Amino acid sequence: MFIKISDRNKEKIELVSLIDMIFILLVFFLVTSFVIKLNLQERSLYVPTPKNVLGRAQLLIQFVDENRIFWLDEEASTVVESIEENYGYLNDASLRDRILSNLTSNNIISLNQMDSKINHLISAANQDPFTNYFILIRCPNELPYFHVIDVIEKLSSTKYRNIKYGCVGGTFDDIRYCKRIYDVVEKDSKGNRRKNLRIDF
Amino acid sequence: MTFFKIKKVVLIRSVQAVFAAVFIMFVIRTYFWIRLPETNIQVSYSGQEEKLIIPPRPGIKGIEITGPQIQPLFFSVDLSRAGVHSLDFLQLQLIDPHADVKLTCTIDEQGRLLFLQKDILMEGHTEAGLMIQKALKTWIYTPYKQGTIKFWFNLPSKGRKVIIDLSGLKRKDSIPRHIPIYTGQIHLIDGLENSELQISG
Repeated sequence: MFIKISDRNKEKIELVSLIDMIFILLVFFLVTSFVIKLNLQERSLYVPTPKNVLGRAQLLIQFVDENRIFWLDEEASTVVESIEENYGYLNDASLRDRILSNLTSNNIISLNQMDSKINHLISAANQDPFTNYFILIRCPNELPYFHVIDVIEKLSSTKYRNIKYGCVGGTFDDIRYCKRIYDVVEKDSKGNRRKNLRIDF
Repeated sequence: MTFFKIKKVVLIRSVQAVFAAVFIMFVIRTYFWIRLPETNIQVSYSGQEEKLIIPPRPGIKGIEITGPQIQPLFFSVDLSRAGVHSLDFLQLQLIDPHADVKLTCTIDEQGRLLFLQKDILMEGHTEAGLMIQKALKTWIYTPYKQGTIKFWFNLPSKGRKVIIDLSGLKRKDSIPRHIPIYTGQIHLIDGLENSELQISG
């Protein structure tokens, strides 16, 4: 004998709807779990960060104060070379002091002198589009930043945009009280040997 | 059939319980995350792997200013000097095809090639020896190296007919070590094929 179960007593749950709803909730929580970590996730995004290497440049413009600039270009390595040759008998600290006193007395210039040097550089860059220049601008954090902006504006006015620049915070004292300043012979990207001036802070 | 009915209900309830557990777990997790300070939020394993340590910017640890390009020097016969004469090898072979002459010469500070009669071995080949001496006497080298240079003219040889030994030469102390000195044209012998010449040292 068959027992007929009435429809009234049957518990009917729509599984399809239930699963749909649960999955929607699952997706919601998964998404919110990522959103909540957004600040940390942002750190893991690919952001091209600078390499932990020496700041390489053809020219250093170091702001000493609002009116004075410490200007180092490729001639500096020749000066350092001659001092190293003449005073090679001194210990590292004395040699460093002698080099820095020489550079400080000869390479600290006024804003007007810097303008004329930058103009000279720009005219050289405008004449040769294939020569690229990279300039490192260092400015103390406490100095108004418009000084740097002024320099950048001038450097950006080249015809072929072949003067690149990088800005970094730092005082002249970093250089004055550096660990070591010396010449080093290295090959550049084109394989040419160059005598570079290195300053270790 | 009651058994089957009960089993189905249990199954549905179990599925509901699992989804409810997942739901509650996400709610609790979200609740705790919201309460936690940002720095204490647990980063997922994938996030931890991707976390980057941002290195210091260039120019903070040190600076390198590109210096002038170092031009290499070439040690060779200085053709700009007046009175430098070449040796006619074909004529030498005509005069004495069996010539065997050895010279041990000295290059002085000015780059002059010096030798005395005792430095020449030319037994039985005087005419060829004199012809070689006459030419070599006029050779002046670029003054970057000094020391001993040996010439061996071995005309009967089927292979190398002229051997030049540079192993006794040393770069001058006054030239800075970082400047490379390459060997250029170290002889002025007309009519000598490359396969007949050996330069050693």
